[in-house]
Amino acid sequence: MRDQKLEEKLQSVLGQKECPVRLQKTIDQCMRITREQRSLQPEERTGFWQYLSDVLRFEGMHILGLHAVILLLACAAVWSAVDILRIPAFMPLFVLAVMPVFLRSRYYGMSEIEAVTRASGAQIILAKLLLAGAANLVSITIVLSLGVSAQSAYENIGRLVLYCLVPYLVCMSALLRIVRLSPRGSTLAYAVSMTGAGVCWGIFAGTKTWIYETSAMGFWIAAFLLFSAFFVREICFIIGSRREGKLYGIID
Amino acid sequence: MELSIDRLTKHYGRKIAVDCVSASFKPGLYGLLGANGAGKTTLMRMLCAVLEATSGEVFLDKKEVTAMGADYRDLLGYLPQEFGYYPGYTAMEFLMYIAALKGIPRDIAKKRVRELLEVVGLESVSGKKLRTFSGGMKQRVGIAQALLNQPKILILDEPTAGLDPRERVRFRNLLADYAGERIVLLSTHIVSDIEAIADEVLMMKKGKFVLQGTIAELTRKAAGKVWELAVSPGEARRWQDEAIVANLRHEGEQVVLRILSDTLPDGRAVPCEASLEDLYLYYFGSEEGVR
Repeated sequence: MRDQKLEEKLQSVLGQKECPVRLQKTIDQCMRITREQRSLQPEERTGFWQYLSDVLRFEGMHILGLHAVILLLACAAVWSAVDILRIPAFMPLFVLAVMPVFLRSRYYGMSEIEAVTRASGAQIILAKLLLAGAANLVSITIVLSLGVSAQSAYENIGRLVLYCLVPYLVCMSALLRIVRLSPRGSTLAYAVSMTGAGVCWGIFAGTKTWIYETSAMGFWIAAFLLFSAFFVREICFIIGSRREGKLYGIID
Repeated sequence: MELSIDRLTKHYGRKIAVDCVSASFKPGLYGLLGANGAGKTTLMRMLCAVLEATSGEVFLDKKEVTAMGADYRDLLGYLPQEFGYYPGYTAMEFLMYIAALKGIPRDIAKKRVRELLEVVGLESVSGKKLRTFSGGMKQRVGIAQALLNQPKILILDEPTAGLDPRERVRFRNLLADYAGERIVLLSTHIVSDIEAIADEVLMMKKGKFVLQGTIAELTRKAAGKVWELAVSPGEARRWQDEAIVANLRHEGEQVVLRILSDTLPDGRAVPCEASLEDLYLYYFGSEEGVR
């Protein structure tokens, strides 16, 4: 539009009287556009620590409740002068205590809804693993400290840590593998096998004492390295798929 | 915003659930129609990136969605066909839990959960455990969770299943209002739900899109294939065995049949206006056991 034409047009518009109907129409249109723009703007989202704290808020009771029961049992056994070498028998039970948290969404059919949230299925597992691992670590430390101080076995503390870590890594790797690969039906089988593993480990510690001789340390170190590798592999799977929204553990 | 699928395919062993489908979705409400086993759920799960496609890709504004990761999921609201719930949670706790997974800050989440509970008519039972809820109430909680993050892409798999007629109408109005600048994809085999609100309809059969277009365009395709025929009750039974009968009503001594046929089925038949349901039955009549 040429300048003169534009000037004429503007003058004619300015000369017009105010039209309430058109004014209201313009206001309504502006409000609608503003509303639409607001709803389409990206919203604030929480960061990792807030997310972890939210997972703790919702899953904390489930992680800590059963854990506290196993911890009490273990402390009572250590206090009543059970052989210190039987402490590792509680490791499968500590892992058993966190199992419901890992398999809960699958059991209740929530995996699909959870996988489509900002946090992927793998991220949810990772957050649960962090919280469950921390709870496990604290509990194992408490039981070991209690056992060592009650039976004044300070010189064996290094070996004891190894004796506890090996069964713990075996059970935790197995749990993560079940979450990743196995269908819903294996939950009960896992629970039974973990309880059985705990009992067997206890019996084994009482009957095959040679395994705890200093000469068998090579076996323990080798077992620790082997099962650490399995555990790290499972963690790598989780970290590797944390960006994907796929249902973690279901390979279709 | 444009969500597009390019030659998306999913095989389960030898079975082809989704067979090389391509489409493009711009803001609006899309209805996905198809019989059970047509591949609707598989397609929706691939659109949500929950399920890995055998081949083909999903793009949002030309970006591959699995590569977008959390940025894509942040734009998504999804209601699966079958979904579980934690029975020990109240409706409020459940929605707050999903809000936490969606990364919505707590203060915003609280406000939004209350709003959504009101929208789905559950505000009075927000403190009750989900295990005490009826099927329709659980479905409404599912709808609320899908809307929590105010998704730009809303994918709903059979959302009206289990809702009573009043709730269905309420939900349809909510969706029609919500669509505006967003992409809403709704799968169902309840034709009236789609007929009432969808801007565009995609009809799926054996993993493929057999028809695609607006309701007016699609019903035009059924024009000249719908007939009404008044017969005696005895004759009506024979017609039901031999033709696709979309509807049957008694008028005095006679039975009026709504027949779907490419050609004039009988000299007494009169042509009538086609609906989306007629078109659906024309394509899926034999699968749905209408004949």
